[in-house]
Order: sequence, then structure tokens, then C-alpha cells
Amino acid sequence: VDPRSSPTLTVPADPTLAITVRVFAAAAARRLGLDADSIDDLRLAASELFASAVEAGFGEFEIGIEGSADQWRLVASRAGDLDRAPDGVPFRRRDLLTSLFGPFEVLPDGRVIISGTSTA
Amino acid sequence: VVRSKAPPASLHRDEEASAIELSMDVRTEAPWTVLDVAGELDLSTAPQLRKQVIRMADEGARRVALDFTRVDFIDSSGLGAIVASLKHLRELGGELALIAPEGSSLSKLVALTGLGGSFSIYAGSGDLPAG
Repeated sequence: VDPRSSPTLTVPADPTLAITVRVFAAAAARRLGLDADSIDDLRLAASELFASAVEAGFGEFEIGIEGSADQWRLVASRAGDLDRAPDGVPFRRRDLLTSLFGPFEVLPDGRVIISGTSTA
Repeated sequence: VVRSKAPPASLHRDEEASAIELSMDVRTEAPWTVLDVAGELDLSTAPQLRKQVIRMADEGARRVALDFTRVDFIDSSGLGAIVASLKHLRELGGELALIAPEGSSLSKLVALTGLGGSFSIYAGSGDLPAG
């Protein structure tokens, strides 16, 4: 398997599939050779982006993780409104993701692009 | 130590689609009622935790500790359920403590979100205040 290939996962925005999205994100990150902390961070990011998509009422969510351990990129489509605070918590998902990865891009078409490097 | 299996939460509309069950066991370590939680806490499973804490409060528990030692993953939906549980118990004059080892998923998320000051977090149930 070419570790630089860029698998994507497209799933219905059904809450019960959150675990599937996390398993995919962890597997894709592991395939790129990322270290354990980075894999955990990407698993959390994937869960937050998927939850945001579900809360937005979008029918479908797509996520891909590509690149290499040195320079990776997470791309999510239809991830909802990251400036909305999740139920019951006093912070925005945008802030949580920024704490994890630093500034990231939200394109006009709604795609979220998070880039990073691994120290592994 | 008294242990009992928490009964399955009744199915409400927001739980009907919940295919993944959290494992939750209640034990008493006076004066605390400790809820052992195992599994992953996300938008699918968080309502189960919130409902269980409400059930425990309904049954009279006022000092509730949630043991997250066996929780492998938590995101902001799970954190929302903890905040809701905390508010519910405080409204009843009770309190909520969290048990989470350093480096656990919960400890990391609390640090990331700057909510450390909002919760009483202990490394183990033996560290819960007795008074």
C-alpha cells in the first residue's frame, strides 16, 4: 500500500457512525506514520468535525487524510458551523481545533483543511 | 463497596439511534456514589451518561463521582454531558467529581479547552475527599 495515497471516507451524517469516522482517521494517520499523539489529535479532530456535520443536519460527511508523516493534510467536506459552541460547553469547535493544530482553513465551499507536521 | 450494574437508560428520541452502548456500573464509596464508565464518549453515547447521572440524582445521590479511567475517548459532546451533569447536581445542592488519570483522554481535553477550573478532577477514586 502506498502510504502517500489519500483514502477518503464518505458516510451518512448519522451519530452512530462517529466511531467509524474515528477508526478511519486513526487508521489513515497510522498509515502515514504519524506518532501516537498526532493520531489521537486527528481522531479527536475527526470526531469534532463529524459531530459538527451531524448537528448542522447535513446528509453526508466526507473526510480524507493525506500526505506523509512530515507533512499531512486533513480535508473534511460539509463539516457544519465550527463557530457554533457544542451543546453545554463554553467554547467553539474552531477554538478547540486551533488549540490542537494552530490556524486552519475553511474554504468558501465549506471544506475544512487542517495541515500539520509530525515530530516523529 | 457496593456494586450494581446500571440499568440501561430508557430509550428516548435522541438515544434511539445509539448503537454503541457505554458500559456503566454504579458503586458506593461513601460518601460518594461512583459511576464507572467504560467505552467512548461522543455525540452518540453522551446522552446515555447524562441520563444515567440524572437517574442517580433522582434516586437521591448528591455526591457523584464519574470514573473515566476506562474511557478511551471523549470529545466535546462528552464534555457537554459532563457539564450538564454538573449543573444538574449543583441545582440539587450536590456536587460532581471526575476521576481521570493524567494523560487520559478526558484530562487532555479539559486542558485543551481551558475548563480545568470548572471541574474537580482526581487521579483515582482513593483521592476523592472523604469529608
